[in-house]
Amino acid sequence: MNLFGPSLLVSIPGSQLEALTLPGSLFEWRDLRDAVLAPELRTALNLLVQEAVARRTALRFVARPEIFTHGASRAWLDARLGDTSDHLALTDGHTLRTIPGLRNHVFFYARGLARPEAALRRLLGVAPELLTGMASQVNGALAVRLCGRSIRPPAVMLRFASAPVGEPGLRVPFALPVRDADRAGKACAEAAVEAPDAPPSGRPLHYVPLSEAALADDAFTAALAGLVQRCALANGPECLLLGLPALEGEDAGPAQAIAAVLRALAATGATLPRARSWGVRFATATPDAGELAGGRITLHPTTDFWRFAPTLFEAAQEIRIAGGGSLASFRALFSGWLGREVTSTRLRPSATGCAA
Amino acid sequence: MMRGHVDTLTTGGFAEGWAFDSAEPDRILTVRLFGPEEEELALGLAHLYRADLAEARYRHGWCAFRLRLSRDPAGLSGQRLSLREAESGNELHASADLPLRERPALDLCASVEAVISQDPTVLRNLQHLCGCGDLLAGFVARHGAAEFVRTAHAYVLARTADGASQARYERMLRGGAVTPFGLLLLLAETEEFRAQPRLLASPADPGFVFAG
Repeated sequence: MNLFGPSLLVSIPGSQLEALTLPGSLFEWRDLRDAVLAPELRTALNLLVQEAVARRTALRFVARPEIFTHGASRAWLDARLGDTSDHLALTDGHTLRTIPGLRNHVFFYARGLARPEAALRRLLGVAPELLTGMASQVNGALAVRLCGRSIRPPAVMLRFASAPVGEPGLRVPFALPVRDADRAGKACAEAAVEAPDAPPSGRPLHYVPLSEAALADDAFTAALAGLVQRCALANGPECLLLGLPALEGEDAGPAQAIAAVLRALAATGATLPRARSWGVRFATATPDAGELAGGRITLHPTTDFWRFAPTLFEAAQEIRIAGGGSLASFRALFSGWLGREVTSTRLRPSATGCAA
Repeated sequence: MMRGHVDTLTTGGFAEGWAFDSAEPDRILTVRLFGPEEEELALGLAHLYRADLAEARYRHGWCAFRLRLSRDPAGLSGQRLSLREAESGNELHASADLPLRERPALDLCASVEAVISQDPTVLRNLQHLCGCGDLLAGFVARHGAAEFVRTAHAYVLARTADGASQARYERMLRGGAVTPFGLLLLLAETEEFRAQPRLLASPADPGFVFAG
């Protein structure tokens, strides 16, 4: 399915438009580029714009596409569409607006965030027919059953050409010095150092990017807790690098993200190290591909893997998918995106390690 | 690679165009325009802002030039003119077919406002930094989000950030909720800045704090 023709109409969730000053219902990327946006939406837009530039596709954005379904408003839009025949709806899971008469595509960009995930499940439960009209989905494996048929729009794979430029981020040693996760998170965050200043691991790195949804998966957190126990030991098998989850809300900083991880791990009942250990460390930003040379990456099936540059996965010796639910669709999607087969491990609540 | 172009001659007596070195995007090129007899017609810096150059991502949009000609432009019609980088002498563009546009000379600088409006080292509109996304992102990559927020406050508001603002903007920047340029816009939209707008240094100013 060719999403990138001569031009593409794109819509973003209405909730993101409230704070924007737009020139009209149709607007350009430059009107959006430097506005305050949800971080996940910005990443998705950056990916989309990069691909559009590479394919010489002209992007135009439409505000509130639901207005343009029929009548005078639709005639107004048609008069301005020109050769545009495709509409990509970037959705946060709460709504999915299509434009009749155009080929509609969907990009659910907020995977891993608990509320958007739940909202999307609810939306597709109430209105599964929304997916039937979709010509494709970007980096997704959304599927519904309707009248006994499984409906899964074909996936369009988009990848970043290179890792985005950003600060190297912070590294924080793991510790659960007190039972209260909020206090523990704050205490941990105080020990943060710039990534280049962190003590060398001296062991192969095992990177596990976390998400809110991954932390809500009991089997995954139980396995992760077991891994934390082993890696925190001085002679642990590897250095565990936990990518801090993105949390919804402007006030969510590293301390809150660490607290969310500690809370989920503590809920497994596992005994976790009270003293600081650099054998397990938190990362506020994606590590460099060079750091992962010879290491491992474990992904939960709710990971929005497409935000990483493929070079990160190419550097790792082993990539594994682990989670408590069905992994087949994510594995097929991710393997297709990556261009090579990836192993997966379906975890049971009693599992004791991601490597199990 | 050095690139340049003479777009037009104007009836007001100027040659307009752009020039930059993609290998050294922070460097401001000095250019010379030569006539058919190798006589120098104009000399100057390519450090003015132009929106179309920002859109094309040519040196952050700050590489236009407007050079005063030493000869009547009407007499140069149909003659081969050569644009060269002053230091190396490399030819950037040559043409015998430059258009002559009806455009008056610069206004006389009869007031402080008029002088400022023609000073390329002063930013007249923060939107003129819209092409500096890569430059600002490079600053964040080199110095970190915290330092960028501090520098942005000093640049726009001429003061240090209070603790709450510093933490809030750091979070937004690290999380990707706002771009570095978007953060400058946020600060410029504050009541504090709008009540007492300041003259800000442009990328044409050697003291531009975000330069590499």
